[in-house]
Amino acid sequence: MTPETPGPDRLDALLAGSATPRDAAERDLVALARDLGASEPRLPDGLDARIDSALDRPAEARARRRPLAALRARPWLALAPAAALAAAVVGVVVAVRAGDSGAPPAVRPAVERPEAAPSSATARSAAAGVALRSGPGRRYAVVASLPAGQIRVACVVPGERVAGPRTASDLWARVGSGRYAPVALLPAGVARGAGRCAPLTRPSGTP
Amino acid sequence: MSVVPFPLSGARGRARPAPAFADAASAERRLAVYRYLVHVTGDRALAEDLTQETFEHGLRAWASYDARRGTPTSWLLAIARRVHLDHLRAERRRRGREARYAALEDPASAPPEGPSELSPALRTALSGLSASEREILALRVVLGLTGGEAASVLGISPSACSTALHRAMTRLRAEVSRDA
Repeated sequence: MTPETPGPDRLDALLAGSATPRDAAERDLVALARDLGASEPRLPDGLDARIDSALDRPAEARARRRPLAALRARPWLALAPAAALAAAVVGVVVAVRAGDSGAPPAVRPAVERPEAAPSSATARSAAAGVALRSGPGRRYAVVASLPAGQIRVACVVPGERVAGPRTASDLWARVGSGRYAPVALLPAGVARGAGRCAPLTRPSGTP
Repeated sequence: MSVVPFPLSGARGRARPAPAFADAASAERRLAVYRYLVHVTGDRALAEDLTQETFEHGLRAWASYDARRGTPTSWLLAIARRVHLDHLRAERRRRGREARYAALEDPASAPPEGPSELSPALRTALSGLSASEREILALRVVLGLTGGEAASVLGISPSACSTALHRAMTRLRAEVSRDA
């Protein structure tokens, strides 16, 4: 009834405008293509602004549309309360240990910020030369030694117990990627207030 | 000595658009992505949402754009396509099996607003096509991409792309003449 549709190559040529329609079927196709091509010619009002705001602040823009998306986009937000609690506990433990060894019992409350976990403590180093190991224990390889200057403790993690001149502690301070120093060998107070290191692998069951 | 970033903080550091991506998100490309999505989804409101999402994804993935493998337009369209497929998968999960079958049996229950400035006959004909047929029409006919460009968006060979276009146009013409 209706003439055959032209083959793929001929169709390409017709759509590209490099061939003129020869029969009714080809004229139909070209008309269809023209109608389709004329549809939806411009962006709806407001979409430009939505794209701009998405480019400016992707996560926030999405959260406005779907409330739970904020949590999905940044799942560690759910860990923030736990992290703050852990930081507080570590702070108290470190303060108590410092008290045991005769240091002034300056109990400084852990600073509770939402992102308390990666908190850092900074101090003048009196411990230059302390071996930095790849993990929290003396069985890990020595990867560097502590340079003179400031120490920035990213977080602390429990490991092998090490006795130092003023105290003994099983906490190791992470001072760089894959670099740990025993807290007992660091100047007093350097690791105070530093949060517990987040586990390297995400435990199953966390959001 | 650097403070180790919190391990879960992922892509947080790239919240600001690189100047290059702001250029890539030109008005022309926004329109192309939107028109593609309108024709594929047949739903203007949904297409707006997915367009926004496409550019969010594009912003985050811009570092991986490789000019040797295609134009920014076809790169963005490929993202739009994945965003749409993800959306379909999520929808399928969300709606129960029964709701899906009910929708299949009664497609006219809540017709979404299709592409504007289309004749009703053509609109009905388009909604009678499969998603992959609408996809190839959107790329080749609505946006006027070449066979090679469309093939790179779809991840298929140019000849497979030509065949698909041929089949889609044949079906479209059959649908239109059946309605007429």
